[in-house]
Amino acid sequence: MSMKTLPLLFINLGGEMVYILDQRLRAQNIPELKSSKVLHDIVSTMFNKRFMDELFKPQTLYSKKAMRTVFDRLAHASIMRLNAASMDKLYDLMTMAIKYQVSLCLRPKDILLSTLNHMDAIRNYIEGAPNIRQQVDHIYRMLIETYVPMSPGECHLMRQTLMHFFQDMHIRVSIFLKDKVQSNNGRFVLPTSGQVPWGSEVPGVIRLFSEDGRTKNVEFPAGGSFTMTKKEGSFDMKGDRVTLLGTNMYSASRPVETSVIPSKTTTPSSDIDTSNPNPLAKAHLDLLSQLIGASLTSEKTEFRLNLFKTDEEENKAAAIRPIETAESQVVKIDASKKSKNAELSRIMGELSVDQEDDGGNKGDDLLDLMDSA
Amino acid sequence: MYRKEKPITLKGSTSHLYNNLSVFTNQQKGLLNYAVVHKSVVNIVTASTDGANVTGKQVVYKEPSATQQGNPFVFQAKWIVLPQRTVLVLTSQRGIQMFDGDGSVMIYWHALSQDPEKSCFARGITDMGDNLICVGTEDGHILIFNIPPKSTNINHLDTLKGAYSSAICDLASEKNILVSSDDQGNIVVWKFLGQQFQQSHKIAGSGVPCTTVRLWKGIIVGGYGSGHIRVYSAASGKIGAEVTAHARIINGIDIAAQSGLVLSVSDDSFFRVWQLQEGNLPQISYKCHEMVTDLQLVGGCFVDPQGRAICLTGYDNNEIQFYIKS
Repeated sequence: MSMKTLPLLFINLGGEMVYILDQRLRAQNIPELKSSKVLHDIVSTMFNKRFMDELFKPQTLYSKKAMRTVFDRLAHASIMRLNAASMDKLYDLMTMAIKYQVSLCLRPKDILLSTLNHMDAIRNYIEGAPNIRQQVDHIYRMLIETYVPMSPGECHLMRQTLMHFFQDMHIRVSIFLKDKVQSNNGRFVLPTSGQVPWGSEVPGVIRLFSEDGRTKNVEFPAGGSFTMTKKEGSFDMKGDRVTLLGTNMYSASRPVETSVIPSKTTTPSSDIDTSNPNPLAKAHLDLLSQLIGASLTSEKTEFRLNLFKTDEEENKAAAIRPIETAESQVVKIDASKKSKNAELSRIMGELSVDQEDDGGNKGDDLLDLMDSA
Repeated sequence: MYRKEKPITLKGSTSHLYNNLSVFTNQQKGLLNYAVVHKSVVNIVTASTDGANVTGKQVVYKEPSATQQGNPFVFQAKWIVLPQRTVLVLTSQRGIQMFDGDGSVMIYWHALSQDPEKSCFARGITDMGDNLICVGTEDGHILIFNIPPKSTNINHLDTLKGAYSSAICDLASEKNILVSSDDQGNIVVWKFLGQQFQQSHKIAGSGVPCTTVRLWKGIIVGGYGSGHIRVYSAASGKIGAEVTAHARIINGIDIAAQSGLVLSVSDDSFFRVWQLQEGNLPQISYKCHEMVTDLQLVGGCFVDPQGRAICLTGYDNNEIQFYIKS
């Protein structure tokens, strides 16, 4: 499968996470100063130059578990804490949103446009933070360099790779159900009308060529009313992306919600591809957790974010999904002070060991990295 | 017109790939076999022609060298029926594996890449003559394998390097004609001269992949990423017809050998049936279509040579859908 898919998946999931957190931060009336700090910290960690350089190297996708772990860490890169149920819900929402965008895009290259929509939104969130702005601009350049020259064939392979990643995920999301773009079995509703991809034609014509060079057109019923796409989205740093995929679908009147699918409908999926952890993914994870570990140390004003309307709902959700919680216990960063401190001291411990072992070399590098982050 | 029949359930969901469905009819035993790729596994279903008995099994694309990375993803699974034996061919992101017809024993393994960080996939499988199997690669080459009537003594005979270097999407063959389609939409026609292959026509593409190609009575039918179907003469390489057939990518095409009916399936959830007409410049006409609600169709085949029954697969769905001519 495509070896260039990981950055797109990571940036899109991260972008969707920022949308959801932003909405929940507002709903929970977190003071402006704190919430913008959270978003800035997360974006700045996400787009750390060294981490991104690693991500853009050709490689296979992370397994579902490894990807989930990365985002567990990323969500806790700042002063905000999520408990297990809220983290589950956050990740479910992120993945289903990106599955929707990848499944429904008109042509594979539109995935890049929806990525740029996420990037445009992130750029707005970090206004007034010139350091992070530099990081974000760097990612724009990397995206454009890597993906704009891609041939349609490579783009198809990239989309197939992403479709593999999201295969067998059927969580129902209430915002999709309300908009009637997802049905009750968790599948997306496919439109049988609307625009055809940029560069494609509306179905319904057979052109018959004869040897004397004449063309005869015969029409046939296309079974839906389709229209041409009049304008291609812009692949520049700034511009009209044309597609709405990848833009923020949440607002005050459309709160973040998921309905939990009854367990009997979860399809048994083969775990053959995810059973073995990717060693590269593990290395990246270590890098990321070190970066995040550092930013934790200076913070004392933590708060807890709830992805549910009330704490009771959150508790209920936690009770409903015992299996998943057990599975991902290893990676959970719990909201309670005690275990947070344990995690913190573990990371601190690792850092100091590094310093001793490498004569300070590696440790210094990491510290430099953290200062610049 | 076709009406919906009862589906068959697979052991896993269908992956999003080109031509993700292969059918093999075992007439001696009165059995129909279906193969569908789920990530690194191929789900095989065997059904008696009356539909009374249905059994399933799985073939896993395993690689001893790839233990750390998990098994590679399969790109295509297809049965090749040679006069003496039937072979199930699997292509993946690292190479090619061939199994005996029921998928129980691996008889050949061809590695394309040892480097787990480098993709080097194979895609596009067809037969040639009495004993050859042709497989396309990511470099745009076509590998030719010799299959003896018995034994596992399979040889890699030759590598065809075509006029283009982009990844092969699909291969088709008929008598001594071999046709390849690639990621840039190029189609190359080869003639098999008994010992070697000779390139006879190049049909330049527009940059959009020709995801699937089929050959029937000297007529080439190509399905494209843009939703177009194009019909060419294999003898002259000239275009006879162009159809704005689907609103999204076409993932599979099949032709019913006895009737010349064409089946096309697409991400737009429609399957359409067409009729080919022979001639100096081949022509095509529309017969009918059906929508399979909310299913991005990735595989479609006629079950019988007349084209009376159709089977279909869709992304993320664990069923084979059936439609019968009414």
